[in-house]
Amino acid sequence: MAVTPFKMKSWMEGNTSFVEITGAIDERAQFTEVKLAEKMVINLEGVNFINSIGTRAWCLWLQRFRAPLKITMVRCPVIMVKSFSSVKSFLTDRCTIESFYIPFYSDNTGERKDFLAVRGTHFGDADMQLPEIKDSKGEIMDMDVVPELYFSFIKPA
Amino acid sequence: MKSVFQVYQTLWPEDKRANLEPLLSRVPVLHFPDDRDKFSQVMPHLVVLVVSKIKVKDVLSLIDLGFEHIVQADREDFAKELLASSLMTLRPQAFLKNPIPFFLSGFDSERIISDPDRHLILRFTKQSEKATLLDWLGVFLDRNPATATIRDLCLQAADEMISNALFNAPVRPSGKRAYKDLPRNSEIELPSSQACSLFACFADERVVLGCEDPFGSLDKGLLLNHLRDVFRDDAATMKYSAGGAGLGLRHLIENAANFYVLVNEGKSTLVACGFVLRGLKANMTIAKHMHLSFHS
Repeated sequence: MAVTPFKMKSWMEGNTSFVEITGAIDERAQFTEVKLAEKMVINLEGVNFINSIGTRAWCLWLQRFRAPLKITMVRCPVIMVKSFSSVKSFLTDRCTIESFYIPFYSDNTGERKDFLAVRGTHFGDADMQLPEIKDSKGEIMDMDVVPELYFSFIKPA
Repeated sequence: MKSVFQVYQTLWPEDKRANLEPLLSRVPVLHFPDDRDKFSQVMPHLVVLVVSKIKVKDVLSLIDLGFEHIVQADREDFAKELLASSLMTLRPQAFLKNPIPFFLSGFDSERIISDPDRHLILRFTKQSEKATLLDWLGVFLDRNPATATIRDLCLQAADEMISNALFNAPVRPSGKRAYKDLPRNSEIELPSSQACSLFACFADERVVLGCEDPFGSLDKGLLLNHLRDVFRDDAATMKYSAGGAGLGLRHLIENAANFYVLVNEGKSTLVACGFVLRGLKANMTIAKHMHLSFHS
């Protein structure tokens, strides 16, 4: 996937603010103000790159949101999930992850597939139940993560 | 003390040993932990240190002792890394004068350089060129389907190294760092005589990419202090002050299989990462080769 410029849009529906972020979270990213309600849902599926400067910008933006606002993140790409546990304050106490991608790798074919894990279907507070992911030759693929690191953010909703 | 050749000559085919012996017989090798009692008897920067499956924090402790080339014995590319380490140890000036051609694979370098699909060298002077550099790197990586799993890692690594070359490396004649505390979206432009290079190349089972700058301003003590700081905790801590976020170096080392810093003081700094073509986890968990070499 090509790296594209940062874009952010937000809108309100009832008591929820929706935010959609796409492109690269880097030194050019400009996080705009979000009209706040009781809840916020952030869709990160379109994020295709993040660097250390973007990580800092993301953290500063996220830290602006205080109680009692609850933040839900959906469709978090691998490139973001890797930072959930590896960078302090990448997530705040207000954040819950509802869905995120898990990379799978095939040693036979060299393929990668990113599987969308959804809370309530594939993971809960403490467990994961994932289907078998197969490569183009029908062979089972391995999770391409260090589980104790990658899944360390999972906590009760 | 034994040499690399004495201990490891059987790693190479018999028909290559005659060529390798003059070089490798002059490079001393020690092993950790077996040769710990010999550490005080050597000049550690002149020795290749062979270790086995030790973790990053332990590697950093050995670097603190003065060792500059730490090579993991259990890796598939052990022989190649031994050879590269020996070259870096024995011929540092020749190596630093033109590191890219034989940076990775020693005697394979001619094959790589003559094949445009296997290597890429891009010069740059401006922050505004970074997006284009990453685009070109992405296209280069896409030529080898095996990089699909680690494409993001490679682009992130290149991004950090480019920013480092533009913002942290340049020093004024006074010795003060010219751009270190500037916001990273500042439009920096170096004179063409101070252009930096981004390079990448495929060598069979891995891809190596790196940046070279013409300043040679990276200070060993400061680097080692920074490494100790950033690896102190399980998760990285961000810097909120001016300049960079303080995350780049840890990200490079955590996610790469090989890590290189080669400094020719006042002349050039090369920072590079090697990634095995086997997915994200393989690069994170593999025992890492590390080279931090400083020459004045």
